[in-house]
Amino acid sequence: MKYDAIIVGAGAGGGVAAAVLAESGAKVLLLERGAHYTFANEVTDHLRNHRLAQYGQNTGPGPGNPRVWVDLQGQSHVVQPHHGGYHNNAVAVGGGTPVYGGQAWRFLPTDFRMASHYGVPAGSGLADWPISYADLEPYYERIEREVGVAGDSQPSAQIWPRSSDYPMPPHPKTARGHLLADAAERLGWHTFTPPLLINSTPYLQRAACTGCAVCVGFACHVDAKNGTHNTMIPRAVATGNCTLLTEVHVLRIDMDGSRRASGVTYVDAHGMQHTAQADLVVVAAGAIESARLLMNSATGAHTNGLGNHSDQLGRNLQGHVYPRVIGLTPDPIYDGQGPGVSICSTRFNHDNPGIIGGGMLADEFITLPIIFWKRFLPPDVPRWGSDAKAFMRHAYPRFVDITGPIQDIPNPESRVTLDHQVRDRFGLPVARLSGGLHPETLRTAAFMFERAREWVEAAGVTRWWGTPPRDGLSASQHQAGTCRMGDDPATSVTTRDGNVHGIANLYLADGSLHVTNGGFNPVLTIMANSCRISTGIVQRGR
Amino acid sequence: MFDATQYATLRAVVDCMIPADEFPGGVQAGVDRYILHVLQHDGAGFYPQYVAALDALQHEARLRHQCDFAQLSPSHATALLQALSAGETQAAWLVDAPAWLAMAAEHCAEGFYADPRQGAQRDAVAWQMLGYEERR
Repeated sequence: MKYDAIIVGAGAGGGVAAAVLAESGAKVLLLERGAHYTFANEVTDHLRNHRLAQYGQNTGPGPGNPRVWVDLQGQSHVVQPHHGGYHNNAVAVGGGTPVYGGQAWRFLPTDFRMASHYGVPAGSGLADWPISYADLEPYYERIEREVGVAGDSQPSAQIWPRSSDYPMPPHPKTARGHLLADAAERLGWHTFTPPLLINSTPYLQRAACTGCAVCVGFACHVDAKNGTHNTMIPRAVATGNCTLLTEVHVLRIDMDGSRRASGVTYVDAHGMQHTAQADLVVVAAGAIESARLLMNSATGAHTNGLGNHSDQLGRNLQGHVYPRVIGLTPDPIYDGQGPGVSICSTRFNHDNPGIIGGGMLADEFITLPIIFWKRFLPPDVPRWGSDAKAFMRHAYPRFVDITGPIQDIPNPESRVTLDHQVRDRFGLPVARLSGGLHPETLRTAAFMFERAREWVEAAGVTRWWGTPPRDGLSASQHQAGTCRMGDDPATSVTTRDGNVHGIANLYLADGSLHVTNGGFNPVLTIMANSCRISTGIVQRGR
Repeated sequence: MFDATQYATLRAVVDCMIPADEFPGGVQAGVDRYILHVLQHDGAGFYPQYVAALDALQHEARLRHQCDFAQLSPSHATALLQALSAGETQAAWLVDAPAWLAMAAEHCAEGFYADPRQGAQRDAVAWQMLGYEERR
């Protein structure tokens, strides 16, 4: 059978596209490499999850899917999914959304016009988006309502022009959040409760968050965490128009001549190879795997991969680095209240003197004790012995911290290419990740580290510690930028509609389209942009 | 996987790294069992380093105190590990002593602060100490 559309990847972007297309009446084949992932089949493990992947992870990808990571010294390493150099995002139905923290940020209007606002630093790939905040606003509003965001509408409306309130009120502030709110007030900084894709009240026939202490990195035990896995994808399937196949691996996009895609070739869960045909192919495999799939689909007419005539495919890979400052309050402040992240400031996202961009600052999600030990201990505290144990006992109930994503100034040399020496279990070249941060990103990070320090110090801590981020590739769960949108085929991979330049029926619908990645967690923008692109496909009559 | 001497040394190391105070120490919390489990599964690659290090620790105790490592008083054992952490070895080491001790400390922390379902901290004693509960 021939489908109207094949969507590769049932994550944040692909899941939204599936719902929009299937609800318009299109026959959709939605192909997902991962499996269904819920609390019922989760083995909760504090050492094997998407916040701490010490020995493995709680989702895919499984064995036989290595990548190659090139360090800053040029040394290549074959890496597995739980290794930091892999820059993994969860592979499951819903992509990262079943296990994420669900921070639900809109990008700011200036985030879409970074080059115009700041100029283009030498050696950077900084550019404006071909669309504006106003173009995306209706889709932000729709995603907030249809996937489900709990947020602080009144202060949010002062920062983002918005057409309606959040559908749910914000989550309650933690004791730490109240302390940090008071500290920010003393500094004269405006704060509010971060918007989350987590139910603060019962919503869309699912329960409210219970405030448990095992949140980010794990499936929700009451299904209060809203992702595409429990909203858009079930909606798509419920239309009867969408066939979801899980644990299938797309090998390549098939072409009909040089200007049209005919479908995809994939391997099913039993190892059988299939070809599926469609009028339209939408790739939403995440910034790294989407770029790799286009490269692995090279033909005689597209020798360097589909959409790569201008050598843009795979470039400007970006994510976020985070400065982090931790301090200790004189008295215990830990209240065990999840999701935990409960205070933020967007004061430093833009127009910082001498700095390009900036970032949002917030406190951390509720933190597992083993994560505190591995990542948050100060350098001068011993790692073993009675002092180490006593410090944990003293510090865990007293710590406050401020962190946040730094707007990455894109680096064209941070990129995905193919590694022909290392193959996956199907014999295909794996993704090769190389590059590091643009110097401006490091400068911004150093500036934001100082703001985080000011905030933590203002909270009346007895001591503080932390270090600004170091150079190194940023991608990981916030990976973006490898197939950027643009009006000029010489400097972009797709049109503003997400359509690959020169291939009439091939689209992208994930974070790979992001020209820049904001100083915010990108998932709401990925969903909204996919909604905009798939709505455009429907409106143009596919 | 370890002989009796090696295992006794491991248990003594675990109790140096996570000593008992008002709350249980590492061995009482089952941290040694956790490490055995890791070395048989995801951490199997570390097993040869443990064998080499535990043998070297025994040699250090023999050289310095003429007894088994496991028979050292807690203060002597701790002082010895601190000296080794600073690179002050006397016996022959087939692995880097400070690096092995840092790794063992991390495994002890996993066995003490990670979750009991996966074999860490019997009865969630470390979480009681910190005031942490999963609450779900």
